[in-house]
Amino acid sequence: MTSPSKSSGFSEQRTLEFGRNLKPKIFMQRWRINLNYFFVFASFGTLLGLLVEPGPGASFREYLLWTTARGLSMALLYPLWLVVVKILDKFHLSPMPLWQILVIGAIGGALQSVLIEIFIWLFLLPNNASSMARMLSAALFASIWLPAQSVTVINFTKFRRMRESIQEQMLQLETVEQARARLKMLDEAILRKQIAELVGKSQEEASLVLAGALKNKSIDTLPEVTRGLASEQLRLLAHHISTLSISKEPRRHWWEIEEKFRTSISDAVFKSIRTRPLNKEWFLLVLIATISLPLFRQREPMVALSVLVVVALVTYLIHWVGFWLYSIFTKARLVITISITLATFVIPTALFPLVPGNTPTDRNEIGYAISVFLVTIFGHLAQAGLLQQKELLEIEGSALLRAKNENAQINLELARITKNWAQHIHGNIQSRLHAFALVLEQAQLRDDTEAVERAIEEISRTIKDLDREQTQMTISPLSEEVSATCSLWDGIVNILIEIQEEARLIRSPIVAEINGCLTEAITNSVRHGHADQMKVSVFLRKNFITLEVIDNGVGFSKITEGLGIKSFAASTQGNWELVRDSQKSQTTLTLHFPSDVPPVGLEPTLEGF
Amino acid sequence: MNNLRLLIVEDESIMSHALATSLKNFGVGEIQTANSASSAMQIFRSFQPNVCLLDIELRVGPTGIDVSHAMRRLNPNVGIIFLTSLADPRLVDSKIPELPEGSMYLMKSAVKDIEEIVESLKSVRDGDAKTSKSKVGQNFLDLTNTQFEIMRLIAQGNSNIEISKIRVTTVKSTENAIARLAKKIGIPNSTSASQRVLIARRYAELTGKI
Repeated sequence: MTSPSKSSGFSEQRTLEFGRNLKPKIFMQRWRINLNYFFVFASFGTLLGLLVEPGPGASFREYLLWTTARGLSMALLYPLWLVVVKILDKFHLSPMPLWQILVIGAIGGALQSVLIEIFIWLFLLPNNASSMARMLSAALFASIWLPAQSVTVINFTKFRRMRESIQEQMLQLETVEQARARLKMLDEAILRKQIAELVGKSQEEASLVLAGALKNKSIDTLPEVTRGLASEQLRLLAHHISTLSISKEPRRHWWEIEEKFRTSISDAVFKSIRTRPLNKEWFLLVLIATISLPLFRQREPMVALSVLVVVALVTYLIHWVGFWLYSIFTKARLVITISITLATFVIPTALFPLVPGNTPTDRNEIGYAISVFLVTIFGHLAQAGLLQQKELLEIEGSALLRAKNENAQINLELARITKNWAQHIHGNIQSRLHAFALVLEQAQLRDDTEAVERAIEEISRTIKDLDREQTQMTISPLSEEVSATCSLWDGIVNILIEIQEEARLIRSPIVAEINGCLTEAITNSVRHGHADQMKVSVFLRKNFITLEVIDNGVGFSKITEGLGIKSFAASTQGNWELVRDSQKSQTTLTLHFPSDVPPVGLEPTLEGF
Repeated sequence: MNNLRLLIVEDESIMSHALATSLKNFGVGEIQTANSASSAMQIFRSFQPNVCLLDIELRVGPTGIDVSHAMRRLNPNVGIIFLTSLADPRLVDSKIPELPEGSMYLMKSAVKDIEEIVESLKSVRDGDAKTSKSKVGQNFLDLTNTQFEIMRLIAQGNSNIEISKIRVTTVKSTENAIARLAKKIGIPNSTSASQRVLIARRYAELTGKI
């Protein structure tokens, strides 16, 4: 038999960790449920239930042999059936469609009960008058029970496979440490340094080539040489940047995120559990099984049937209530399970003696009720295990989603930063080379070798400057970024800055968003509003960071086109407004940026998984 | 020449240094340099130049054109010359404001020698350019703002989907806009990737990067 425990120690470890926070604790590991549940309930339950089965006048030896034979056959056949399911599973035939399960289960069940009856017939009661009825009832019982169990098994398998695939995906994600190291690398501008070094190197090469060209007195061709070098450098730079750019997807270790959200998610999961189609099917099958067995024992079938329909409805209702209770009292599942099974046990037992032809002390019915009780309690335990699986699945699924979202954000941020550097460096090199060419041309005109040497010196200095400039480009807190942006406009427009104390030190991708919009806002106010006085304020709100820009211009609301407006809408998810107060002759632009810090107490949604 | 007070606004210090040195050799009177918009405005107030030579691209924030408007507000008579590698100021930002009246636009690639710059300086100081407004914008490209924007976004390496997101339009309309742009700048109509490369290349040419 395939041992499910080979599904790696990893998942087991996770299961245990989850279990710490989930009440009630997992009382059956899933592989034990798969294997032991059937074995235990089948042999033990049937054994006890049928202990009182043999008809009047049977000897003790007959009792013993009868029950042993039946228990043995059950004990052998359930694992056998499990093997069939496992094999189907192995060949990727499961999760099977329901009809397949039903057909296979029915055949298996019928086969099983036939085997049982053969055992009985061989050793015990070849001439028992009721043996035909019993065979029929057992066949029906088993053919309904087995598919129901198969649904459970297959769902366990399906869930386990889903969980394994989630865990596999998680393991493929980069660890938090790795992601942090890379972000740190960004903070420390190591990457920028690398780019600068590469640029510097190619510039050094360029200056050497130029110096060589000068020595060879081919000074006439210098402008072409520099131009050629410029495009060559562009090419080189593009190549270098592409090799530096992050090829590996940034990833996070999933349980870091999971730890953060575990408590809140597990609560949410418990609340979200309702009776799903699976549970309904399962209970329906249990129900049919429960009512069909005694149906064959009644002397007046029509009367029995009407009673049984009532019993069925009541039982089903009880199960519904039970599941509703599960979802509310998440910590008392075992108690609820016992209560439900007691109710299912008491009701048939109480009702059966009322059926005409039955006697209150009918041993068969009491025995039957005991076996129903046992079957139901084991069934519920299995169901609880299944629910547990589902919870784990949902928790892990949402952790994966979160991890993926965060990774996507990191990716975006990295792409943005890389793009900025690339543009910045491109611009730098190009204009420097231009200037260099101009100086050389001047030198050429004046035939001034000293000037050429000075220019080459200038280039080496430029290389050093470039290196320093690149390393200075670090991510700054919000207040510094805003001040830096505003100071660019000193002299053109007078800007008063007011940043709420709590918002000053925000250092996250949102700063870039805010700063981008601020630049757009100032540009618009100056260019289209002709403003010369502005006030920029930033406040931290519960779910938002608010940027307010007031100016004394004529307003730029008439500008409906343009990237500025579009970027406002994109950054704030449409949450922005522009108000023109013609009396005070001022224009107020207010932008609300969704804050990346989730507000405390919000339950993460599990929709979409 | 001696009464020429020139302020050079250029973010690349080596460039402004080279220009200042060359112009001094040609006997231009007093020259000061600034490498950012804010320092330009500061120097403008204290130095009181009568001619300003501005680059349009000043890294992030305000452009040379924004600076020139602010200067004109302080001194409506100051002569303005833009010395830039851009074939059209809209290449840097499609919603850039108009050039100030009477300003002169010189492309770095078109300037043959320093003397030409000196002549331009003289003419804007003397007010020639103000009367002959035709000098401004005459040779600018016949492209719409949208086309400039799309060209820039392509050159920045954005895909059609990204461009559509940035411009808040559909991918289909972006594709159409690119096709119109390609036709206008004489790039063969094709859906192949080389079309993008050619557009990006043309952008680089127009901005003086190649």
